[in-house]
Amino acid sequence: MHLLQRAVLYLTRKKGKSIILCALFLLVSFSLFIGVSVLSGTDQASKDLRSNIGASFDIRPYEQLEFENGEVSSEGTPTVDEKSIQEVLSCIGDELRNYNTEQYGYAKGTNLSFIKGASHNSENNMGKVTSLRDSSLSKDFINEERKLIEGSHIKPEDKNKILISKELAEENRLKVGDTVELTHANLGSQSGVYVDLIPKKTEFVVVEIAGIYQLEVKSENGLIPTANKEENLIYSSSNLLLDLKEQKENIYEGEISFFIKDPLHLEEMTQKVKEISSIDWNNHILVNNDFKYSKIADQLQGIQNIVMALIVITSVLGIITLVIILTMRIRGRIHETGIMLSIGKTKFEIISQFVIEKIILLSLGFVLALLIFIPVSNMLNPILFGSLTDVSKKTIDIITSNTNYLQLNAIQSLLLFMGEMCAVILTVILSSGAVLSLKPKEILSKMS
Amino acid sequence: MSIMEVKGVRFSYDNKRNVLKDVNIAFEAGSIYAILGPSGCGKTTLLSLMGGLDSPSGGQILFEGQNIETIGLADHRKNNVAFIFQSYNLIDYLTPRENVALTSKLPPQPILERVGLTEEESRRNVMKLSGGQQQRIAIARALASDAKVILADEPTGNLDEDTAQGIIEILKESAYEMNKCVVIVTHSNDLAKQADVIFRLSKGNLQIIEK
Repeated sequence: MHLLQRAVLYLTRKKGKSIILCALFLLVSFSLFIGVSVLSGTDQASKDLRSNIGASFDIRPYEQLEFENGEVSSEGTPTVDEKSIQEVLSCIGDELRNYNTEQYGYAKGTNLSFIKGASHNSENNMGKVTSLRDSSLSKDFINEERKLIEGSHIKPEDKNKILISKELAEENRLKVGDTVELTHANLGSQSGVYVDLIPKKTEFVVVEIAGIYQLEVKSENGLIPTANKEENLIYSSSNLLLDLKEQKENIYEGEISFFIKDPLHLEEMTQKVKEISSIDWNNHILVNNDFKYSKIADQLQGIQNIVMALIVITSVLGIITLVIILTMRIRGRIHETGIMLSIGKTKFEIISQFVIEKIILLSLGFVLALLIFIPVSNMLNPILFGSLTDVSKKTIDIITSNTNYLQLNAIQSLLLFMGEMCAVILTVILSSGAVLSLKPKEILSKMS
Repeated sequence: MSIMEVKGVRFSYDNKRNVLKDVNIAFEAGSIYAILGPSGCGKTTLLSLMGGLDSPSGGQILFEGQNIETIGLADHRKNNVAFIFQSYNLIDYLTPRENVALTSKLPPQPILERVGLTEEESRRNVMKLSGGQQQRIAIARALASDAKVILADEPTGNLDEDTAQGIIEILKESAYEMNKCVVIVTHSNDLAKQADVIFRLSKGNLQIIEK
């Protein structure tokens, strides 16, 4: 009679014992499924969060002031040209999600009344302009100091589009889709009066209002001139200040932000960027920004640590319970072992039968655990990862709620099964050791 | 030529108490041997040594002229000898037929019928059969292995007189019709009298008391 046949006969004839052991395997497998899936889920969620949150670094110019003979002088505002930007982009490669450039200037509008500031008059009736590739990537909007309440953000492909404040729109009865004519301007002061340093107007651009924003944070100061009032800030597509001849093409004097996919690569990326020689690092600084990821990563790491501890505890407890049960069971089978030895079966054959029995039960318990785990994982997924979604939504819109992070793939399940199988084989060998280390005669003496 | 020989076999537990002292004995096929002796005299130990369940402290046991240690004890147990125990020693989760099939080199059912078990009884749970029936199954298992030597340790010890006689008849049949060498360890004089050769084991020495 083949040992596989004997193993099957034992399992079918000793139903009670088989069911108890199968239930134990089911419990251990189920616990490990939960543990491993949460661990792998948090890992996947972490990757998704990283890729959704991303990170950014800014190349920020700063003006170097020199003190000489009691006088302060400046070499002018440092700039970054398009060639340098392309070099940075090639350093980032596939990791790039987006980038944003900013240029600054002033503008006046035909028939446009700005919100009045200190010493307001018709000459200084102007507002600041920030020309950018993508207004949604501007720090003002990312940090929620300003919020778009109507229309849409300015995109890189847009031309002659602007965003204005709710207050400026109301003052001039403007709405999304309306057009206004803007002209160049520059703020200066003469004898304590704010004036326009470009009195002769030669450049005019008609722009369309793409969106209206609301100021979330206001810092009121009665001494601020009209041009610098926050309500008067106009965000424009990058062509505006070029067309108004206030900025030169492909020369950027504002902050340039680069957004990358994986925050884990940020450090490595910025190291490479610092080696770009065409950027004058004496008057530019590089600022990393991954605080959102760090904040969430800490939470995920916390979950992973707890789950890892649970997996270790479950495995250790499972193996201890299994060793105790199997030792008792195998000692209870000393009679059978003695008979088998007396009819010439080897110790290897006897252990093999025990191992086969346990593997059959493990397989059954494992499959049942898997069948139970699938619907349970669907229920647990929103409970465990829903909260993460909420946390991240506060920062940036992140996780798609349809993803089941607790699903294990075939390879993971197979590895889990193999791991359990190795543990069971080892446990059976350990448990059988006490009995099978005896001589056949000693076993038969114990039998009698 | 003897099928099995015990030559100068000594055995002691922990080198303290000598259970067997220079035992010499030869066994022939087609005969029944009885080894008599009081409890604890070493009868079962001698049977265990012959069956390769343990190794002697000295001397050797030969099967068809070859030392069983050389053959390999597990192989010796598997191919050359078959045990019949007083307590039957059947595997409780197997039917009679499956118990016989454990060692079977032959189809189990004809052997079971030969020892008096019907086909219906052969399919039952062994634990639900009587002691006599269980011992018949144990004998059938021994016969099915096709071993040339049957080592029986108090085979009728747990049976009533009539049943015991039935078992003895089967053992006789095995020896005389199937040419097996049957070695029975017993303290029953009645059983021993039915053997061809009777030995007595006393104080570690074996003596022929009747042939």
